[in-house]
Amino acid sequence: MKGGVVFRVAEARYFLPATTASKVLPMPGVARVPGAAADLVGIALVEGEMVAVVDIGGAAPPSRRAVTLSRPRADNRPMLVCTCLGERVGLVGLEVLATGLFETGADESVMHEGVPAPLFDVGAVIGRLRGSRWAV
Amino acid sequence: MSSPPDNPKRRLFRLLRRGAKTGATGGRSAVEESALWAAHQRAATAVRDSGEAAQRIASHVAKQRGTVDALADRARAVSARAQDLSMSFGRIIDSFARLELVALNAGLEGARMGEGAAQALGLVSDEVRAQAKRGSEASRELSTTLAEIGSELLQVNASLDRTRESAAEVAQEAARVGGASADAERALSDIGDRLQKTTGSDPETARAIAEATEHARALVAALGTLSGKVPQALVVSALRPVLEPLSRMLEGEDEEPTA
Repeated sequence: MKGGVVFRVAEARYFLPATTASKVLPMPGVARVPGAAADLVGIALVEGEMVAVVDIGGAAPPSRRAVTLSRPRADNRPMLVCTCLGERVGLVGLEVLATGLFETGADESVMHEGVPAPLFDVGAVIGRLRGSRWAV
Repeated sequence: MSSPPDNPKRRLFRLLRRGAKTGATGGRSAVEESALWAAHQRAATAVRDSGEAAQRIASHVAKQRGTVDALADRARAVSARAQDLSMSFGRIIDSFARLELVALNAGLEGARMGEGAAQALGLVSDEVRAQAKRGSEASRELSTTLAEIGSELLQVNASLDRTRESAAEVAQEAARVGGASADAERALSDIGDRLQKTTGSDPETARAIAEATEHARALVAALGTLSGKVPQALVVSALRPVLEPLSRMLEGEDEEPTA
């Protein structure tokens, strides 16, 4: 059994362990970062700390993505706050399906409602941000 | 010197004498005058009735406008309440969404605390999430229904506005009818005055002449039925006491019949 969170991005399910996923918060007010990578929505003040807010719904259709990015205001969309490689990032553009303990699947995936949910690579997201013009 | 009072009875006899002197043509003229006065009376009554009806319509329309105004105010108040409620439901939906996030965090926290705590917190978390979802969906449905009610109320308001405009038009038309009736009444009164001057008769006299004519026709018809059945001498002797004063009166004597 693995503890963590299972979420959906577009039609795919992913898993993040509880050691990486800190909490789920409502989408905060976000300040845009000019010239930043397309998936960096902006930066937000979360519990007294600046957090990069990243839209991981890249697989979503362009229209949906455009809507997501054009409204960086506080609302009730969930933001999954993660800590990885010493960085805190907020992931948006996802739908949280469940939290708690899950059956272990193949590799590092877990099973949720009989469907495998592979481990989401937060490190890759952070690495992509670090490689862009504006480092986190 | 002032002339003696010209009462209707005296006028009637004068007219009858005039008719008798002018023969059959004069008789027809008196009948025509009588018919003219009757038509004048009917027209005056109809015009007066239409004027009063116009006033009543105006009064009813004014009351109806008052009712419509009150109804429109209520509809606006209900619409405003529906909007307030819709905003309240928005806040409730937000609260349920936050509650779902709290439940998710409880599950996540449980996952960090070990298997026992994870299962206990997971159960609570799932239940809270399920209830929050249900509450959120119900609130959305209510909010949608309220929005529909608000839309319907807008249509009701639009209909009431149209009703108010129609009522205003009806009131204007009723006022116009009332004014026209008053004009017609004045014109009829003028016609009556001129008719009186032209013919020398008045409505009461004309009515009396019409009645007298009817009686005379009835008498002639009754005598016609007696013709040939009863000896003429008997008829003459029976009618003479009644007809002699009438005959004298028609020939111009001043004395009027007492009976």
